[in-house]
Amino acid sequence: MQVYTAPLRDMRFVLNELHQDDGFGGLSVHEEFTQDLTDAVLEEAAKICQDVLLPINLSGDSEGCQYENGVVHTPKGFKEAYDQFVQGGWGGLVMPVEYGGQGLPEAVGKLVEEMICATNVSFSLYPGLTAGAVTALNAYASEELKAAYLPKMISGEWSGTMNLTEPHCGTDLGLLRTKADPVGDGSYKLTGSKIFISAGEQDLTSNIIHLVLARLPDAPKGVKGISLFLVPKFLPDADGNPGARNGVRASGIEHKMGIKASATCQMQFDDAIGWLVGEPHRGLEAMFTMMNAERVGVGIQGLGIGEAAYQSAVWYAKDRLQGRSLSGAKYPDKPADPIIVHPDVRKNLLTMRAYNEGCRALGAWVARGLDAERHAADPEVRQRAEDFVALMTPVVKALFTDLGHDSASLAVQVYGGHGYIHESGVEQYQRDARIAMIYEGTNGIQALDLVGRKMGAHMGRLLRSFFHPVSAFIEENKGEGPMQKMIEGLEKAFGALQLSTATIAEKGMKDPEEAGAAASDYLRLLGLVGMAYCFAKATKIAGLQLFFGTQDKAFYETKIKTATFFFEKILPQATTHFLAIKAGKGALMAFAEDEF
Amino acid sequence: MDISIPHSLGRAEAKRRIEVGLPKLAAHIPGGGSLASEWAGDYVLNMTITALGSRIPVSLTIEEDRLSGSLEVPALMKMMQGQVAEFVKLSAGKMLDKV
Repeated sequence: MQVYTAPLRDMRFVLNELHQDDGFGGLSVHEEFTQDLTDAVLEEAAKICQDVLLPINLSGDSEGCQYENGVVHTPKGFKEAYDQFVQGGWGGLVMPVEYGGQGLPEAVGKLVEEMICATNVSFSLYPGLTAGAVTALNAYASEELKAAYLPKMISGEWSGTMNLTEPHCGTDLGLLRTKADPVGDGSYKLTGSKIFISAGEQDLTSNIIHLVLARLPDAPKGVKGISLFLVPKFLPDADGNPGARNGVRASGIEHKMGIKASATCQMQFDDAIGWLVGEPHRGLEAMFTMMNAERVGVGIQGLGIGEAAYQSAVWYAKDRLQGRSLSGAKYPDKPADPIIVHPDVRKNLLTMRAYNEGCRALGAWVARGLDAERHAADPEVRQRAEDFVALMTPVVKALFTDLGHDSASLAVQVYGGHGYIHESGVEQYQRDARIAMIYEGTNGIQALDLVGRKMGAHMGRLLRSFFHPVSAFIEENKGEGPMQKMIEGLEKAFGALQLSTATIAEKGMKDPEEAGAAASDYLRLLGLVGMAYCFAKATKIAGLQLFFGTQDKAFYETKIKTATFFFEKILPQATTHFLAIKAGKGALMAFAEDEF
Repeated sequence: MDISIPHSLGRAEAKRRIEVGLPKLAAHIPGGGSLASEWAGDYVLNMTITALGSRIPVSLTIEEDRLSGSLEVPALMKMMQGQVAEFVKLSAGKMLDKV
């Protein structure tokens, strides 16, 4: 059974307590968003997610989207849910105020996103893609385009998409063929085919605004010849309302393993009218503004699914009676004990719990960075936040989605045979979670981005935005005291990360394949250290709360227990990744192609 | 954060009771914590509460009818400011109550 109650207490903890010393807070632009207000926002978000989105999650998966002559029908209940979502203003939560958004901090917005993804990740893609398109347009489009499109996209009346992939090119966008010919009046005619376009066609909004990568006639070859265009499904009339149908249509939908209620379309552009966004030939830069925002969002999808999988598994482990506890019957009056009495089941549940709390804590830190890079008054803080977000974006995307999928798989395991049955609801989580490891740049690509672009950038400046606070925390808290075991664990894992960084920098400089061979282990190691740092800080705060007296003893005591589990049962994986990095590329590259 | 703890003992008696109470208070700080104190003037007491690696400086001035002062919590403890102030008030109140 799909069970979900938004983890509001933990969300308030990561939002209001855990990162108060990171230097990213206290932004004047967010002064009006007091804790009372953000609490109310989170509570209302929980209601719509639990009451409206969750009930159509399993049915949406069973029914899927239907394609008929260029028209895509979303599953039953999606249109009504979307209308309710839009009426509540949820689509514009963190959007710019000047175009009708509410301007809430990303630190709050990402928590709301987690709830949406936990209850219905298919649904999340419709407003999610719009949010990414708004980000790119706001950063690169002309004032005229912004005025014409952003208010309706932010209100949710219109939606947005990103059109990158073509049948013959995905990761290597330099190969793309869609062309854009100037009409002479400032507009362009686009012709070409795109695939895997989320929300490319649907019946939720009155217009769909496609952001499309294409080549101008004089474009240089490769990625330096790609431009970005805005192509609406309906061309706005003189009053700004949807007018004539443009030359863009869905030619089919993909039949996918998961996220079946998300319309993933094949799109055909035939002399479709569009307008240039940003500079000619610099479309990739603009699209990557959207892509980077989306990558953090995709990471949150992993976390959301992980939390839903955890809660559903806990429900089942308490409900399912099988066998007896190894230490003697715990419920002798019942025919058997619930399976939650068994150490191995607990290990599965706690692994999921620790992944979720660790990712939520790390995600909240990155979200604060997103706010600070845009709004901090001090340029040094803005720079540090930008460095931190750039470094952590691939980590959030890959780590959270890997762990979200692991959690979904563990939930299926807790359910046993019943988990393999569709009606249980948990196998959907595993199928839905799988795509997040692939789209917006596969997790392998994220690891290469981290090692190839981020690690050495500005002589390691990006890395320092993470290393410095971790190192300072270890120094401040070393010595005698109840946290010493944790601090030692963090110090050891951090040492492994530093050594790995030096190893990759040295070997990778001479041989890029060495960096490539180490990349995914390095990303996971960095993620483990990030989570360990957050858990150690959380333990410190929890200990202080208990020391000075708190009304919420149970929450803080449990936080320390989860952190202890993480340090004892999960963090040791850091050594495995360190050893794999140290081993180098030899074993990977020793095979000749015909030996595979 | 400013704190104020009213009493009706007069300055000298309040100081005497605090001098007597301080060692006992330090001995009863909960596990993992400690209390250090020093007089910075006849009636100004500086204390440092240390708990789980965090140091919280507290300065109290003994007046005729109250202890007044301030405490400064590290950024990580921002949300606990009220609880720390309450802890200081309760601890000071216990010392002042003890004849």
